[in-house]
Amino acid sequence: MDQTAFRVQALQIIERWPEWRWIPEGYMQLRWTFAGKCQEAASGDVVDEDVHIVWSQSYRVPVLYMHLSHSDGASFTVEEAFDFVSRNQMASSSSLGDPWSFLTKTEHPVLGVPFLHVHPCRTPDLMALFAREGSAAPLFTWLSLVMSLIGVRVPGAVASAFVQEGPAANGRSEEGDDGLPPDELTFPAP
Amino acid sequence: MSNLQFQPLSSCVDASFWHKLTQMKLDVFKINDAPVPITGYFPAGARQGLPASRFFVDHDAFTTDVVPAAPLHHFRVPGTLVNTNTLADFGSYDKDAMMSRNVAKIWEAITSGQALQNPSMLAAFSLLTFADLKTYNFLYWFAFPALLTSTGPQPLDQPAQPLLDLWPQEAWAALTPALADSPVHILAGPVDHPEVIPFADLVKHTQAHPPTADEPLTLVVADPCERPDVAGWPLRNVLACVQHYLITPETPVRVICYRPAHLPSSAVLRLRLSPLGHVEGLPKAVGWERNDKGVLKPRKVDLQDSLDPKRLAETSVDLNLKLMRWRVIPDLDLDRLKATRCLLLGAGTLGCYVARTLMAWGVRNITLVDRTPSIHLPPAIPSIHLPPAIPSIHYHGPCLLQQPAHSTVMGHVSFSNPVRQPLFCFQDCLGGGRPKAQAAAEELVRIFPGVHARAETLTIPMPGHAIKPGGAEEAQTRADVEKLEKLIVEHDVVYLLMDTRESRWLPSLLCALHGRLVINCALGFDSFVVMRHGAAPDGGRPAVGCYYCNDVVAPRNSTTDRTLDQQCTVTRPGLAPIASALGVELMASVLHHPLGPMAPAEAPTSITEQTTTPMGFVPHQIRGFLTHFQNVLVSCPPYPMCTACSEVVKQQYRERGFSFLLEAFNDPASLEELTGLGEMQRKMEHLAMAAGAPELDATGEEDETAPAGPAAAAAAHEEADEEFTML
Repeated sequence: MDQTAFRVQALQIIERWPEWRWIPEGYMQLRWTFAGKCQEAASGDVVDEDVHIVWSQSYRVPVLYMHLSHSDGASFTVEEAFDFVSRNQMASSSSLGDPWSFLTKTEHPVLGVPFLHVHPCRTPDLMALFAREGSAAPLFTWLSLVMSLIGVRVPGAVASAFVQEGPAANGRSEEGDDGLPPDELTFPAP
Repeated sequence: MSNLQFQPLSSCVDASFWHKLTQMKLDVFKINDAPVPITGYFPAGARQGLPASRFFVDHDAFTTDVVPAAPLHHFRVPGTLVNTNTLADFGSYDKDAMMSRNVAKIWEAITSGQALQNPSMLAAFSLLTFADLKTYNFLYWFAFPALLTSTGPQPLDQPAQPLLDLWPQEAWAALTPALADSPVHILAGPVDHPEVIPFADLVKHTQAHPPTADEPLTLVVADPCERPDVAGWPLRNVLACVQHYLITPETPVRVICYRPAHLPSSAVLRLRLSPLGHVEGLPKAVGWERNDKGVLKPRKVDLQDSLDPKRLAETSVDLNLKLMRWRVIPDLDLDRLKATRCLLLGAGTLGCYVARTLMAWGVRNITLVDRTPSIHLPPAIPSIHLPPAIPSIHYHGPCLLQQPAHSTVMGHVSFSNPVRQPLFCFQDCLGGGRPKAQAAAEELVRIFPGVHARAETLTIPMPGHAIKPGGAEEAQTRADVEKLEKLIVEHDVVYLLMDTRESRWLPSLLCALHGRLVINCALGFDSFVVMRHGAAPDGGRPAVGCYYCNDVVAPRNSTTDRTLDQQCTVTRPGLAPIASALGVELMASVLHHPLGPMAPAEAPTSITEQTTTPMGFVPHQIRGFLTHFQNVLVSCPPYPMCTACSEVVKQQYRERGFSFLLEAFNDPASLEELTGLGEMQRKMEHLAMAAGAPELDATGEEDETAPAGPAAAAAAHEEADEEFTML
């Protein structure tokens, strides 16, 4: 995958999943509000998420940058974000394993604002795995995996649109978690 | 019939807004507190289970030349920001005037017809802030003005109905794009073929199709609320605007509270609107937001964690080390390193490099100690002998020298320092030079504000450097000993980085006594020794010896009868960074050994030998030879006759305290008698004389018969032991 492929696949995703938008500086953005639904979240727990998928020139993979805030606007600390991700990980039965221990604050490459980000040094392995399995839309496959861990569910219609395109994505999506509402799918870890 | 109720907006300020405000305050506003245009946005509806009626501002708020798109199903509206300069200004700011200016703007938009063209102007808001950029605390207060009309709250003709009971969902799916450009539209046409008409055509439309009970004026208003019987706040000004343009009283109106984020929650309200009565001046308005306790007071948010660049530096430093744990050393105990308190005795070349390497390992507590700087130069110039054939200058007496340009006032940064000592620069040398420990500690904080760097000054008393009894000098020495012992107790690891052999004696003794790990670095011209002292924190027997365990004589004054090149730093420049780095790495390895400072001396037989601990082997001593580009690992056990760490010496200090030390400073030979070294020396001399061998070298340091060390240690010892010096 190169930067052009990233852009092409990102625009494909945005076309089918209009909550995302393309920022002219070259990344995808999603604003999402999460209401505590996972078992261990306190009731009334609301998380405002500003999710950016940015292409990393050095690692040649997409990188997740996000800003999580409480409803009063206070930002999540790294520890709070880690707890949040862990809870979602348990709830979704997906696992990215180790990379989430490398959730940290860093400067957003375009905005220059502190953002949480997951260090991309493990992502190439993951993307290579998707490529080996012949995923037609590796960015979407990766995105679905990552989104489930921050409580963003891929809408069923979006998932099915991609399912029809690639045998790899197809195989995986049909294993949708039984515990989820029927119109939503997650992608268990490969 | 019940009255129509409105849900107030609840502000939600993204941290990126504060970040941007901070930048603007520093770069653009400075002390200007004039109103500034900004934008914010509200969602039309809320997904199930999510809080409703929220109002967002983020970093895009300041981009007003090209108004940025709002996220899907959100509508962006204009606002005004006033950022006050002080907390007092925030408190005393004329909020009524601020509200009036906002109301005037909305009223002007209504009466001029601009609001019909651009209905988002009806939701214009105000924001008053105070940014405390020292603590990254922000005070803020939003106003979402709602005009109060004389016709009051609107009674509903009938209970609200769900939108999808009246229109098929497919019809709305088709309308979505046409409704996305503005928060207010007019809907006309039959139920199965509804038609979207711009709000700008309000007057024309009502004239062409006078509203009737059967065909009321139908407004589609983006609505941030989610409750079936309650409307969102922005509807209030939309109704006021419509009323302004109505001519017939009791006009039947149908309001579609449009909530595309969750379309099934969209509601249809039926009510009757009458024209506004005459308004004298400006309409009254309400709309200051309540704080999280429901009180009409400002809100507050603390963003030090996410905005303070110092915190950012800290997390980045930690991340870099965490990556190491992930890829290479899963058992790396970063918290242990971070919590380790390091005392650096000596803030010269070795001290500077050790401090930097410690900081790179994430160590946060570093105390640098250097000599008490001498404010005044010593009164007497020591006698100088210039032997005709030897160009070096011999100094006798104390080490404090009248300045040749290349030398130094002890404890101050001198002109020769910065090129070798990476925490100093030229400026530190001016005006006699800054105190070294202080300058070094400040530079550490400048490099990384997350480090707790402390500077202390004291003169370490040494055997062979006599103290005049009973006077000020003795009192000062006693105070220095107390201070040193206190510092050692307060730290976990003590680095010996001084410039004389004998200055290491007292810290070695005190660390042995208190079970502190010692890392000792000493330089020759092209050789070095880096070693750890055995430490037994719980009073047991240490696994390895200390610096003095190889010696058969007590430390003595090494500064007398030395040439200047022997007294000052004359070492290959690469030696200090190598030795310093090895010292820190040795500490890191020892701290990762299951036995910690109690670990026995380990030495791999080959470079391919499997390591025993996550970080690798923990040797006792590393002796390096730059001439051969080789390091040799040697070790020695604790020597029962050691003048620094043996039980008998520790016992003497425990029992006699300072008076024992004073004896050692004034008469090093007393240590030899105490430990039995003196007796042993005499026996050896006796044996040697009996065998007709030449007399034992009086210094003993290079004596191969040193009983404590193995042959390898003794051989290596010869090379590295001139040491001394690092200014």
